[in-house]
Amino acid sequence: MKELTLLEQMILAAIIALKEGAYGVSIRKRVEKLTGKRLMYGTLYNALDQLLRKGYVTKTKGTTSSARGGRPRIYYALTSVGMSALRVSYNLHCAIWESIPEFHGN
Amino acid sequence: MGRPKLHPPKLGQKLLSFLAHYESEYSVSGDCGEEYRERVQEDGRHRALLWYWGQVVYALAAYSKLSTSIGAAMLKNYIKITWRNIRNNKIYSFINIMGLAVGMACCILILLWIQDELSFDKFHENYSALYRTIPELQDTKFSSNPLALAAVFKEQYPEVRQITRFCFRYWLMKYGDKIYNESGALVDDDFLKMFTFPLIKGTPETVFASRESIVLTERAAAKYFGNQDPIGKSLLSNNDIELIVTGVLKDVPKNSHLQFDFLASMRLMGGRGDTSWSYEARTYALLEKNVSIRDFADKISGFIMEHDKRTNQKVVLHIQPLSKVHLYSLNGTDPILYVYIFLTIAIAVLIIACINFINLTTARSNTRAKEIGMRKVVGAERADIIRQFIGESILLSAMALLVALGLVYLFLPAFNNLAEKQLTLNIAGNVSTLLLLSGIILFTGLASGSYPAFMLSSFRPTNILKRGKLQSGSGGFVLRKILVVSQFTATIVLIIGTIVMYKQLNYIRNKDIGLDRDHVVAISMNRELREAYRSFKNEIKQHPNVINVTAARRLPTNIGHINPVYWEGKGPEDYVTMTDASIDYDYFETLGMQIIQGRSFSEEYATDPENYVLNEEAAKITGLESPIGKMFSCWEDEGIIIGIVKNFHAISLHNEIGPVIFTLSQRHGSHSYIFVKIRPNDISGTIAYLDKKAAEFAPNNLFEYSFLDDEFNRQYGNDQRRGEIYKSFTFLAIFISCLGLFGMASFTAEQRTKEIGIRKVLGASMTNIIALISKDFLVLLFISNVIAWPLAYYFMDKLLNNYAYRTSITAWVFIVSGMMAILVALLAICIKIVKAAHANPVDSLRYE
Repeated sequence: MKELTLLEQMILAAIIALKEGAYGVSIRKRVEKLTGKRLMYGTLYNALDQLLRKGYVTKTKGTTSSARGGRPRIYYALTSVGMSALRVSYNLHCAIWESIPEFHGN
Repeated sequence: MGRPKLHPPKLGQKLLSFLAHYESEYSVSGDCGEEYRERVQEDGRHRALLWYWGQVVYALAAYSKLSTSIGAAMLKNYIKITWRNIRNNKIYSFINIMGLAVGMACCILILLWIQDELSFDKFHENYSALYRTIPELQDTKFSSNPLALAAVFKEQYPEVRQITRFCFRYWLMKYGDKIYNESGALVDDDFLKMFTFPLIKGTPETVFASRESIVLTERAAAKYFGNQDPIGKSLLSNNDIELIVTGVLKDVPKNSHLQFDFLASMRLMGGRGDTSWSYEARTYALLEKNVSIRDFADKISGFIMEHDKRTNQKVVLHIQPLSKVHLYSLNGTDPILYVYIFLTIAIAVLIIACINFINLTTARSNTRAKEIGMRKVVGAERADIIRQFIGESILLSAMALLVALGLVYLFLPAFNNLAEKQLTLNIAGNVSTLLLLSGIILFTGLASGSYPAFMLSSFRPTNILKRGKLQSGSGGFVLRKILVVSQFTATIVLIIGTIVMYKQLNYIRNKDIGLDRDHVVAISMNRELREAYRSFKNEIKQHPNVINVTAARRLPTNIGHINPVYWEGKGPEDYVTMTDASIDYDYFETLGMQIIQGRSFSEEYATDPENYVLNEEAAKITGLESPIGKMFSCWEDEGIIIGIVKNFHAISLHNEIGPVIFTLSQRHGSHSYIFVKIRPNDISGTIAYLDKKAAEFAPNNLFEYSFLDDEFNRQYGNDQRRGEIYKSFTFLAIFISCLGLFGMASFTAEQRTKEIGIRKVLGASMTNIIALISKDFLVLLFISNVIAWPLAYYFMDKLLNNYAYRTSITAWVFIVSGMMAILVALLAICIKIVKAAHANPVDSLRYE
C-alpha cells in the first residue's frame, strides 16, 4: 500500500475531527487553518476523489440550500480501510520522531 | 448601496459544472458558491469575486490535468510542435500569419461594408410589404410620380392598405435668431404609420392633424430649441408660413434611403397637390399581406395612361419593393454590382493569402519530412497526419485572425472615412459576426491546410528516413508554379482594374461637358433675395471680379422637370416628353454654353418669356430642318424656338444626353439659385463681397453657396469612393502576393546556398546569380501577365459599358500594370537573393 501524502493525511484527519460535519467547505477551512497556507478546491477535490477511488472515504448526499445554488452538500466519512491507512501514517510519524527527544513536547 | 449580490457569477458556475463529468454531484460548484456567500459578507464583493474566480480557474486546471488521456497528450504534442515550428522559422511564420491576417482584415472590412449595404431600409417593420411606384416614360424610369396619383391609386386598388407621397423640400427655417437650411419633405398623414421612423414626442396619428404642423428630428430640434421642449413652438419656414412643431423624431438612420430632417404635411401644397399630374412626388404604398405582386404589377401598369387625361402619352407604371431601392437603380448600373465586385475582391485577396500558405508549407515540406516519417514509424495513421496539419493551419489562421482583428480595429476609422460609412465591429454581441469570423478561420484553415496535409501525409517513411530528405522536385513543384501564376494573375487583374477605374474617373472629370463649370458660384435664394434679385444682379455685376450673373430654378445637375412638348408639324400620335428647365437671362453666357443656331434669350425682345431654346438633342428629336422660328409648346405655353444650344452633360456621364428645353417661364415656381461667374483671382474676396451684398439686399437670407464644379463632382462621389476602396485593396493584394514571393525566394535561396557558393567559386558574378534565380520567377510572372490581360480586358470592358461615356482601354494600361507587378515582385525576390549572392562562398559551402 502506497504511503498517504501529507495532504491526504490532513484531509483524513480533518474528516475524523469534523465527524458528521465533514464536507467540502469545512474540510477546506480546517486544513487551511492547520497549515496556514491556502488550499484550493481544485486541489482538495482532486485529493478527495483519489481517496474515494482508493476506497478510503465514502460520501453521502446531504441537505440542499439556496446558498449552494441548489446543490446538496456532500459529506465524507472514513472507511475502515481509510482508517487503517491513516493509522499506518500515524505510526510512521511517531516512529520518525520517537528517537529524537529534543522535538518532544514543544 | 443596495443589498449585496450573494450569487456567484453565472459564467463561473457554468464552467464549474463542466466538472460534473468527473464528480457527479457538483460539489466544487456548491462549495464555492456557499463560501462565496460568506466571503461577500466578510470581505466585500470584489475580493470575494476574485477569490471565486481563482477557485474556478484552479479547479478547471486541476481537473484537466487529471483527465489527461492519450488523445489529449497527442493534442498537446501537436500544439507544441506547431509552436516550435512557428518559433524556429520566424520569417516564414511571419509571412504566413501576416499574409493571412492582412487578407482576413480585408475580408472582414469588405464583409462589414457589404453587411451595411444589405441592411438598407431593413429597419422598417413593414419592410417586406412596402413598395414604391415607378413611372416609365420613353425607356427612362423615374422615382417621381404625379402628385395626384396617390389618392386615386389607393381608391382604385383594394390591395393598397396605406399610401403616402414624399416630396423633398429644402427650406430655410427660422426660430428667433436661429436660421438654418433644412432638408426635409412633405408627406401624407400615413407616412409615419407605414415607415418605422419612431417618434420620441407626439403620436403618428396626431402629428399631422393640422395643416401647419411640422415634425423635426432630434438633431434638428436641438439646433433650434436646445434643451427646451420643442412641442408647440412655431418655426417660420421658407414661404413665411408659421409651422407648429407637433412631434420629434429619432434621427433618421444612416442606412435609410429616405433622409430628412423635417416632415411637414402634404396639405401645405394646397389644391394643386391633389389635382396636378405633374411628376413631383415619390409615392410609397403599403400593400396587404397576401397580394400577388406579379398580378398587381400587371394590373397597375396602365394606371397613369388611364387617369392622366391630358395626354395619350405612353407611360408604364411599375412597382418596386423597398428592398430593391438601395441596391438597384432605376436606370443604368445597379449598385449591387459593386457588392458582387467587392465580394469577389475580398475572396480573391483571402485566396492569395492562402496560396502563400500552401506554397510555403509545401516548399518547406523537407524540413517536416523527418517528423512525419517518425510519426508514421511510431504508428501514426495517414488520417492522424492529415488531422495534425489541418489542425495546425486552423491554429495559425486563428492566430492570424487575432492579428486581423487588431488591424481592423486600427483601420476601421480610416476605412469608414474612405467609404463614408459608420461601420463598427461588434464581436461580442453579434452572433452573425461571430459565425462569420469562425467561418473565415475554418475557410482559411481548410483552404490553406488541406493540400499540404494530403501531400505531406502521403510520404513513405522508408524513403524519408533513409534519405533524410524528400526527393527534390517532388512535393507539388508544378502545383506551386500554378499557384504562383494564379496569384499573380489575380493581382495583375486587380492592378489593371484600378488603373482603368482611375482613367475613367479622370475622363469624366475632364471631359468637355458643353458647359463651363469652373469658377461658377451657386447661391441659394430665399423669397426675400428672390424679390430683390434684379437689383441684386445689377449691383454685383459692377464688381470687377464678377463676370456674369444669372439665375435658375434648379442646379444644372438636376436641370428640370420632364414635361410633354408639341411643335409645329408634330404628328398627333407621337407623344414626346423633354426635360423642361426654367432659367433667367444670361444663363448660357454665364455657364459658357454655346448657341449654335439662332440666339439666346434677350431682354430686348419682349416676347422672349414665351419662347424656347432647345439643346441639340431636343432639336434632333423634333426632326425640324430649320427649327428656328417654328412654333413650340410645353403644356399650353405656346412660343417659338429662338435658338439651339450645343449638347451638354447635365446629369452624370453614367447616362446619355437627353433632350432639354429652356424657357424663361416660371412654370414650376420661381428661381432658387443665382449663378455668378467670377474671375479666378481673389475668390475668397469675391465670395465675401457676395455675402455682404446678399445680406444688404436680404437681411434674413442665409448665405449658402457652392461651386458648380463641386456639384458636378458630387455626382461621381460614389464612383470615386469605390475607386479609393478598390485601390486600397489592390495595394494589399500586391503586398500579400509579394510577401509570398519573398518567402518563396528566401526558400529557393536557402535551398541553393551550396549551388550559389560553387558558382561563385567558379567565377559567377552577382548578376549571373541573380539572373539565375529570378529567371524562374520571371517566367511565372510573364505567364501571369499573358493570362491576366485578356481576363482584365473582358471584365473592365463590361464594367465600363455601364457608363454612357467611357474611356478607352489602351495597351499601355496593360503594359504598365504588368511591369509594375514584375518590378515589385523582382524587388521582393532580389532583397533575398542579393543577400544570398553576396554571401562568402566559404561560409555557404561549409554550411550543413
